[in-house]
Amino acid sequence: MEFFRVEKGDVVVITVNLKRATMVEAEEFKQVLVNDIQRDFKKIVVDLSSCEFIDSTFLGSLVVSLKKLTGLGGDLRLVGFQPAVHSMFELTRMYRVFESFKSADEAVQSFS
Amino acid sequence: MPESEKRSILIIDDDKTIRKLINHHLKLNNFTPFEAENSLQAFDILKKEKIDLVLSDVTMEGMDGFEFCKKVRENENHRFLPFIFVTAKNTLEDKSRAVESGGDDIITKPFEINELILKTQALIRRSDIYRTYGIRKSLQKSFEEVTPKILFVDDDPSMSRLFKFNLEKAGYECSVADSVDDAMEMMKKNIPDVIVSDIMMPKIDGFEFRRMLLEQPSLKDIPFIFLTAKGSEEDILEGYDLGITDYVVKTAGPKLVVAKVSAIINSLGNERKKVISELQEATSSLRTKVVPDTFPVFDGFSISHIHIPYKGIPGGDFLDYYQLDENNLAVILGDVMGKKWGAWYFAYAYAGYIRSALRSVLQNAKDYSPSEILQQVNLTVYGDTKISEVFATLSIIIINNKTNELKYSGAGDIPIIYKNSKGELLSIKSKGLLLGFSKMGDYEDNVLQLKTGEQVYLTTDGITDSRAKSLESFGEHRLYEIIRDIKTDENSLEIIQKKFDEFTESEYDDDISLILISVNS
Repeated sequence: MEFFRVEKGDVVVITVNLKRATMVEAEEFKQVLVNDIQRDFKKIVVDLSSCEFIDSTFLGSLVVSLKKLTGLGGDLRLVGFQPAVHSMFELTRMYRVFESFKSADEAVQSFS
Repeated sequence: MPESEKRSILIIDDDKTIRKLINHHLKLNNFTPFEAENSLQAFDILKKEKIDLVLSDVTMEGMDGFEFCKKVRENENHRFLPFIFVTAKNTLEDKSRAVESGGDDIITKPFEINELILKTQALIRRSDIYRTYGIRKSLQKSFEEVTPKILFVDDDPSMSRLFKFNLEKAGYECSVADSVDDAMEMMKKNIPDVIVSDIMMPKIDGFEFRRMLLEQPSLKDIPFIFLTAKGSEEDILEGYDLGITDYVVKTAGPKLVVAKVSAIINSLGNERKKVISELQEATSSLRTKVVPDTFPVFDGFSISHIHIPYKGIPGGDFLDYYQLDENNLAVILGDVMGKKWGAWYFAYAYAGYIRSALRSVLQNAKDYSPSEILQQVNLTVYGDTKISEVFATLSIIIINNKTNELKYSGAGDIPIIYKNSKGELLSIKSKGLLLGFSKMGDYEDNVLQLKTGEQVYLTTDGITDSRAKSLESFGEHRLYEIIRDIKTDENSLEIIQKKFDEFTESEYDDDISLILISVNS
């Protein structure tokens, strides 16, 4: 499964099981996030530990969801940046708007 | 502007002087105005003419403006007709009534004629974008060229093997389901282009399968062929009642099925062509270009670019040059995120939107600060809730040919590359956020004092993210190495493109854009 989803209390953790997260999967991924937002989940953690690379389109789907969530008083937090992913966030300055954590547990706890 | 391209505006006001005033200014701004004194006349004009926007008073004899607007909205063809109220009523209650009745905007009397013209232009531009956005779904399909996928449903494995073999030989991808349950499960992951299904199957039969598909909006329009051993007319009739595309008797053999599938796929291909030509038409009607045809002429500098849209369809990247005055030139490069994730057509309209928003900010720019221009455009984009799901990176550079000063500010963009007179490469980073993400984008100006022979490159992620057949990315380091090795008398862009083409074998993954600014010696 490309996107593995688990609920921990009122926090949803979505693990992206892809080495390369790109435009091919971005639409489906966005849909996964939109579904949760529509179901009133406001605290979402996305685990990117498996990703060696994400492209700007995939990043776009994270950004759209973050904007939606913050508008609703929620947040989207990230876990596990590999080097290329880290530099993508740095390059687009998106590390400044996403809070990131070392582990999913840490990210989940940051919401409480 | 040719007469046919002019936009028609309907002015409704019982005051003749106001009508004439608005009429006069609309004409000056290349619109075709129509006048009505009251709602009756207005309805008449709406019926006869193709109106692009309505400017309506509220207090009128007979039906008032609010009621009129409601009535107009009841007509399917006018549901999205841009509608602005022009009224002396300015209480909150009036404004909320204006919105409730379906108005898009409200201008209070006494009004500034310039404001009225600006709002009219802006609303027309926006409705152009939304109108074209509406067809994005059908366009998205046509964007990808893929092997057509056939889903073959039959409980008899020998049948499935036979047809799968023949369909694959004909160049299709064929997956096989041995029951309707299996087929439904497979379609959760992969939507086929054509379904071929047996009728007689245990548990759920083909007719029931077809009924199940018809209940699902995402599946009901997939061309559907019944394949059956029974040739009785009853079956055929029942089949056609279910809106199937075709019907083949098993004994006719796999060749006939392949022929029928091919005919369907070809007709889908024609649809695709039709949609592409619609796109081209819509593109020209938008009259927004995303890339200029020529390089700017600017004393003391040479400016050129490469721009190759992904699969030849414009949209993701946009670039522009704008001469602010005789000594200052603005150079702009942007990348709309999500060209390829369902919004790719919208990306084109959006690129045009940003480009024109930029132009209107630039027209009124007082001090030439790229960060201030960025922030103003950011506010426009941020405030427009209807486009809040699309983001763009943007780099703005302003060069002055008197002082050789270059000012740069960026929004989520890739650092610009500065090759100085010693041949060193410096990556100049900006810190601003993606356009439209937050109200304050936190933009700042970087200033470079350029010397003779120095170069500045701007690019988007298309070049660095593109991959070779071996799946290796071109990467920043390759681009830097190539630029470092270019000698002063060589044609930089030609060399970069040649090396890039060698690496990718001219198969790009995205829009390719690169702008080069060099100071003449």
